[in-house]
Amino acid sequence: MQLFGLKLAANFQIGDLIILEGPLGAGKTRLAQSIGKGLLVKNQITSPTFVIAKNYLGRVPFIHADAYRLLDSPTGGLQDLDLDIENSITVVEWGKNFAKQLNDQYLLITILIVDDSKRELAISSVGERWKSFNL
Amino acid sequence: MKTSLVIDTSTPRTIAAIIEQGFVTWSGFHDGATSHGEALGKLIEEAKNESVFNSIEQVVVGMGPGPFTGLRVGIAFARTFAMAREIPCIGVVSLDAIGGAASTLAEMASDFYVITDARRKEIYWAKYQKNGERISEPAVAKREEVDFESLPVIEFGFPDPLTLVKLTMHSNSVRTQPLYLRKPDAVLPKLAELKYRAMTNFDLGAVLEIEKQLFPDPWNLSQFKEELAGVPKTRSYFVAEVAATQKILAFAGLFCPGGGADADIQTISVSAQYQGNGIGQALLDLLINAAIERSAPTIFLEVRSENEQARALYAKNGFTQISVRKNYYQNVRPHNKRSDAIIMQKLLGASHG
Amino acid sequence: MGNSSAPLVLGIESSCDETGVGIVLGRKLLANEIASSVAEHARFGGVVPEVAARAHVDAILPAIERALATAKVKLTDLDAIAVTAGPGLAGALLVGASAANGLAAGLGIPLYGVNHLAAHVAVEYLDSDQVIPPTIALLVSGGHTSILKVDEVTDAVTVMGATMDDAAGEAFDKIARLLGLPFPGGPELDRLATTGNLNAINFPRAMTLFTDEGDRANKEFSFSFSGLKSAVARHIELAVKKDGPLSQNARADIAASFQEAVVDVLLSKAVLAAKREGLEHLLVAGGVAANSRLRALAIERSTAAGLKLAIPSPGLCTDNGAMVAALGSLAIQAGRPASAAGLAVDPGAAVEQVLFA
Repeated sequence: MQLFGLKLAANFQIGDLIILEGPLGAGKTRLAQSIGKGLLVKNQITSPTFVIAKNYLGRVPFIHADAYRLLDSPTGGLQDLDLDIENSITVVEWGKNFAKQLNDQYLLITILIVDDSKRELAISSVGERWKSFNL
Repeated sequence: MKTSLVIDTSTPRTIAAIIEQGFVTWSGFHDGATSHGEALGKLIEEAKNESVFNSIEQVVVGMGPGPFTGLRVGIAFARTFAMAREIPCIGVVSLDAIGGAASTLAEMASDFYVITDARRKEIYWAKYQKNGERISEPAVAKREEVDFESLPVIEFGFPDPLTLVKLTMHSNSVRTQPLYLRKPDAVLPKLAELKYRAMTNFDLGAVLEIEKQLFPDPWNLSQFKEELAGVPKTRSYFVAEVAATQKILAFAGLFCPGGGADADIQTISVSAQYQGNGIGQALLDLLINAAIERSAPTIFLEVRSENEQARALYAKNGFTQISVRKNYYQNVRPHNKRSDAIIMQKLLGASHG
Repeated sequence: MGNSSAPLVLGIESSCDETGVGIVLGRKLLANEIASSVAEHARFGGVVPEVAARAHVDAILPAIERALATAKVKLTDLDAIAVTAGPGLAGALLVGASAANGLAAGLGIPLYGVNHLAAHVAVEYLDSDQVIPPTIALLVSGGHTSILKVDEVTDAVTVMGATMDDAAGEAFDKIARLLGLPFPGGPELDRLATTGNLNAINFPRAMTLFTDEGDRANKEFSFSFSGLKSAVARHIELAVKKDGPLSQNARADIAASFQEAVVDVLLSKAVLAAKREGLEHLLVAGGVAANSRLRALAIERSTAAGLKLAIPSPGLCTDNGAMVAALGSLAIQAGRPASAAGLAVDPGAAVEQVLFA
């Protein structure tokens, strides 16, 4: 998983939006941490669940967000945070329902728990930017 | 005209000024879409050097439209400054201070549009008469969606401080709430994926919360437990929960003893903030199906007479009113008045006996 | 009204969900208002976080008014304003800072931008005249889990260790959700756990066993709760698969065992940190410090280790304005400089930055 995150990061560019889905404990934060590492973020990347979004600086600005607490929210959403996604690489955990608020195009990575030590990744995307994306 | 401290943070430019007797005594600005907080602080520090700073009579603040990040800085500051000085704080439409200024300066020959950047390729816009009066409600849209009718479009303008103060005299421009506009078909999150399933005892914590929120005379824990004890022999109870988080949003229950007896809807309760999303309908479908499965010939229910939404839902589903029980329901307000209960029924097609 | 040895300070806390306004006179608490109790209508019954911070903008004025009324002081009596400048959610911080700025500018008094984490520590020193000793502080909340070495709370605070993934409070909330508990998850889980057996399941205590000295040196005061979270989630999944929906007893046992795993690790490391630094005082603060088991075990472990324990009352553990006012007041009493005009909020501020220039 670590390696995968690093590889992904090498292929991301400014303005990219990446959505991570999967049940509790699947490893979304872990993947986000690897992506951050791949983007050369020095600070420890920790779960943004409570504060919703955290900003880091790697080779480019990196936004790590978590929509978990917004899942039940009848109003309001990530767009109200005025995140500077046009000038950053943004990863949003639990973000499937909120993607469109931020960007018409995004990469969706769903992590499935096979067993205690195995995960399966399902990757899909929306938009021209991602059409030719592969590793 | 009152001596005014003027603030506007609705555009990437942070603007502050002091207006005295129709003239700008002092003004300053700073450009930076993400630094309104620091910028305003520094500008006000400059303003403190003006002797008139201590005799300000009102605060005028631009209410947008504009990106939320910046807007809230000016508005929060203006309100507390006014509170500290015990003077009024008046909000006005920022866009009008661009339109109004334009028409004063440029002798417009026709109606015109004013637009400002709303990011993500969208714009805030409004239409103005040549004298600067606004004739449409400020809105936000993708640039290509707005028909400018070949009229002049003012872009790249900033709210003019003197105009902001003048606008306090125009009721059409005065606002008490910030203008955070969203597109009409806004990409608000669709209601998260829901799961409907049978209610269990462990759901009762959440169920009671919803019950208390909705009803002045809520059922208590033992009453619910008793209901669930009747499942499945004489009762069917369901909950609607958010699939991803298992948060319960609504519940419903049916009394249905079977053996050809009629069924009675005990409750359909949807948490207040989730009403209007079709959850009530989905639960009603489940209850009607349960009644049909147990061969109930008719299904009854009671509803508060003033509950228009619920009555409409039931009517849409084939329920008809059969009688009224006067003064049946307790109210919270007014405390001394009680509500009538409307009894409705729906025939289910199975025959009696 | 006050003076530099007992300043009258109004503090504003607006770093995440809560809008709090507190007033202190020196080290005496005069008022502590949380906006959620003042502007209920803006918060959907407290069930979801109003992350748009719109509620903050509307909630702040009523909260200020309530605090003034409770403290029986007027705005013109104040000596200074204090406000959380970081860390936290940028939008929320901005509203608090702007409101604080407006007050300070309108009243012509200094503004102190302070660190949210340091404020959690400072609140413990209210309503006491005692000299404040160097302390190890275990700070545990929904957004933070750290062990701090506090030599002087207005000036010299360092991080000895922090979480590498989830905060403890966040783990509580997520497990509470899995157990079907209503909002608020943390306190509900606390309640459920009191009826359960804390030894029923031995959930993993992460970062407590080290294979080599290098590893130990890096991580002995660090935390990791994501593995524990996964282990509990898996346990629940398997149990449900095997025996169907969990019984009340099963839920209580899971709650108690999970809670024990968290609290055990938190306190083991905190006590070890105190011993390592040769300090006698241990402070436990932050929202999770309201947890009954953490409080009970903290007393047990600190007594056994010969440490003097300090924990604020539960009402002062969660985010509040009083703690901000307290830190502001302590800063003034220590002769620290106020923030300059143009105070910038810093959502990622490190705790070492107690006061903001």
